Amino acid sequence: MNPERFENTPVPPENEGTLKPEDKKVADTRPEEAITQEQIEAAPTAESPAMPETLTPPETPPAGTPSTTPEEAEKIKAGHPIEMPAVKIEGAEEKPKEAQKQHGRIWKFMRALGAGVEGAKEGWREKRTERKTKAEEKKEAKRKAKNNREIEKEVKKIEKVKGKEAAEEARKIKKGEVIIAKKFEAKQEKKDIKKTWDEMTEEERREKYGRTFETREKLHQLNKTRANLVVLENLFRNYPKSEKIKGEYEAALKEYERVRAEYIGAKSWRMLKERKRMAEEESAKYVERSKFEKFRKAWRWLGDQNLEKLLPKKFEPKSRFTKFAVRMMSLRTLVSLGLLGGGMAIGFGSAVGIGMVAARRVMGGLGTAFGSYDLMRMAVEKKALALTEEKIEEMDMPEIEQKMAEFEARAKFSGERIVRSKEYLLLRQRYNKMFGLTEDRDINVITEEKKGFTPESARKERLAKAIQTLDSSLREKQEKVTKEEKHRKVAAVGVGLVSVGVFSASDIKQIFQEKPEFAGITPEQVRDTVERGPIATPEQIQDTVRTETALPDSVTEEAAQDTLRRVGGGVTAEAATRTATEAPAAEIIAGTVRQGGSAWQAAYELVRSGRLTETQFAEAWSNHASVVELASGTRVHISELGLTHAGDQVVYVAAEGNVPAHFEVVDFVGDRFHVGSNADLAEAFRAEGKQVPAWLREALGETAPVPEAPDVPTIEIPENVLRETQADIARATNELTRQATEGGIVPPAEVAQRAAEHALETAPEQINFDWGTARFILDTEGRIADITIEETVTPEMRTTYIGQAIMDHLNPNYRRVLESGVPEETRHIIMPSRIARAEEAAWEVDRLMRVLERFPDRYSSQSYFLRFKIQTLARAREMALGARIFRTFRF
Amino acid sequence: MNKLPLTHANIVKLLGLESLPLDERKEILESASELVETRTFNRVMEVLPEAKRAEFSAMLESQNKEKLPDFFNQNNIDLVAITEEEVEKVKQELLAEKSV
Repeated sequence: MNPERFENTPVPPENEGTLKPEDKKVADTRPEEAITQEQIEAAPTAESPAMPETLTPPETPPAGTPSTTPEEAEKIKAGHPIEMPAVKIEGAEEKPKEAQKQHGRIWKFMRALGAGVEGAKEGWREKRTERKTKAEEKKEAKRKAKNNREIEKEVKKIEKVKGKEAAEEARKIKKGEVIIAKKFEAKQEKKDIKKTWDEMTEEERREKYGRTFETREKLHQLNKTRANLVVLENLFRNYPKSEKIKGEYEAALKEYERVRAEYIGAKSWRMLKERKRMAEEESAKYVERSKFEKFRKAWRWLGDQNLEKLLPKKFEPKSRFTKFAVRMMSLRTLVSLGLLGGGMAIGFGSAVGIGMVAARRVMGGLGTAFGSYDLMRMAVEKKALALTEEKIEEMDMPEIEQKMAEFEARAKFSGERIVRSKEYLLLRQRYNKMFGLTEDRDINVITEEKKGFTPESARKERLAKAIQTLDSSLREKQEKVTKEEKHRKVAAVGVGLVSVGVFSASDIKQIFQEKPEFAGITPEQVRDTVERGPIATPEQIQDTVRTETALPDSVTEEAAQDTLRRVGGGVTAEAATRTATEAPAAEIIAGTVRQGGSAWQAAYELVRSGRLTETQFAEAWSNHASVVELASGTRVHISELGLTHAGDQVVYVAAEGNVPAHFEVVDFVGDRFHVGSNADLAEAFRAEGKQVPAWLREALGETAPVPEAPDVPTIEIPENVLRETQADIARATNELTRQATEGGIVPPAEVAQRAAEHALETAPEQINFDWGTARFILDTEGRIADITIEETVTPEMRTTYIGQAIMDHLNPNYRRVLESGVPEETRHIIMPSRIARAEEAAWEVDRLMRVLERFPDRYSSQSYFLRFKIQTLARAREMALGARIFRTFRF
Repeated sequence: MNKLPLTHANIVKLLGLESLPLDERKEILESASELVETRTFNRVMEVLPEAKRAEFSAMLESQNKEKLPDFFNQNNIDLVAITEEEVEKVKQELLAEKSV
């Protein structure tokens, strides 16, 4: 093409018929579709060899063609030339109208030609490379020929009417249209690639994102549901009494949890797959790939062996309970249980973890080792567990055991509380009925009624009787042990019996408090022992508590033989011995007070070990039924129980009838102390001639000196941060107020107003915790002005509390968040301080959360105030650190 | 501050997967178990001296499985402890993956 052709083209005057930017057609032309001068210059002429001849018109007219109206597009489709708008060219007034039209067409054609060439070239090349078969090429050639024929047909018609010149022009136009069509086709393809996630079909998404498709899909869903949740959360905050909003909010929350679980599941699965591949690569260092499968087979065999075989001899367990655990568990089961929080340490913990399931299986006499028990296989879908009462009544013992095991395994998988299942409770009821047990956990009570028992259940009854008799036998043998051992063993038996569920907590209390000569030990003997100094150190006692009683095997074996003689055959001595000591475990949920610990810690340990949920703990702990009767006869709430000792038991009692779930405390009989109130504890200090600690005097309302700041070496808050705190809080308050005006949260003024609407007479001004006290500061009109928190914890306890607070309130990746923006070369200096500040902030929030738990009524003034305070504090700390470290609070 | 031990943490709860379909939960647990299994094997290989490693490989290759427990005892390999450590490691890794 000769560029001079355009340079010499006269510029149209600014009058009617000229193209101006404000003209509709010009304005409609999108910038990306505008044809540049370079394109025009690069555009070949009709005779140019660069012109692709294989181009075909599209099957449908290109949508959105900038200067083509729908009517024109139809004509293109039909193979007719389009009518171009007349363009008035300067100096061409004398030309006939037709000639002007023709000129306009040429001009437009040239523009279109130039625009189309580049895209057409590209599309043509791509097309050619994509052709894989000759058939396709033939098809393409046929199509091209057909198009050319059609074009020529049209040209001939024009030639007849308007002459040769016009025909030639028409040919050019026609071919140009084809090029334009190709250009837009290519553009459309390009546009498809830039489609957003929503615009793409699932197939397109899979094609584009391949292996990461699942994760991306779920992340996209998560973002959507989160956005929806945020909107509804704000609405709910503003209109908390609207049932409709509440319902929608709850549904959105549920949906968010579901989608979030799916996303994390997909991420976790991918991570595991990747790590597994890496581990296998590492294995290749040691094993040739060809032998890998063979090795794996042998290794898997090892996984199925019981732990007794695999434990090093020096670590051979001494406790019978532990022995049982290692004999019954395989390495693979250990892994499954470890992942599911069943307890990994080969000690009492793991035995309790498996106790519920293992004991059931042994008691069921199914004959298979626990090692072959496959948790994954056992866990079934909830719907498969649907049972009616009638169906349960028809089930025999093995069926019931199987179903119960399925429920238990499923509970492990889902993190649900199994006792909430009606079906499970019915199964348990039926199971106990078959055993002739009148009460759960009380294996000693066997009814005389045997009607309806199957041979299998009769065998179980004999076994149960054996256990009962063996237990008596064990007690008899207990009397023969030496005096030094008595103290330790009585304690151990006491705790052990609670732990294995042979006795209820109240039974133990009764035995040890009302039978002073139990097991041949008189109170005098105990006193003598105590006066001579402890035979068992607190550590030993704790160890005993953990590992259960450790009577010599000869004693238990002998007792088992006695038992068998008494109850007759049907049960082997080994089975009777094992069963007697390893019978239903984990039915009673109890924690032991450790040295220097408290009842709260012992109870909260149940949450950490996964045996209680946070909610269950909070409900039971704050329940009015959680009272302890002191030796003096006074009853105090468990939270006011200041005096506890190592070995005291805190027992969780599930709700039954009208009695709500609560905690009971069983005084440890192995020491000379009784549990007592804070006043008792102070008295004990004074009796020992020791100074009453400051926190205790404070709790008792005595003159309280300023408590010493606990020494926490791991937490160091720079002074400048402390100075800035006030300013941070002020800034955060302003920020929250600003957000409140935008509908985000309850504004401070409203908090004050709502607080005033609620009576405060019932609110205690000071609330005591194991870790300190909280005190509301009221203004002159009785409204909450602020809250002060004072800690009275040991550094060790504080570290534990902070650890828990981090888990509960900080984003799991808070360290990474804090790191961002900190130059790498100074990270080792700055990061410890930043992390410490973040973790300290988590504990600050956690303390307020703990106070908030005391006010279950979310509309109470205290609740309003605390929620606001928590948000303010968290935001202030985040602003100070310049990072979002907290999780979303759900009050 | 050291990472908190997750010995008693249920990975299903820890990751908030309670609402995930059971099959998917199983799949994750199975994958995690297999990872622990492979890593435990690698750890054993790593701690064994070259000569013992060959002996161990030969035992596995000949499918002389019954002698494996004794072999571990003789060489002071606490397979259970190694497994525990690897489970803990996998749990920590999964927890790190939890961030959204």
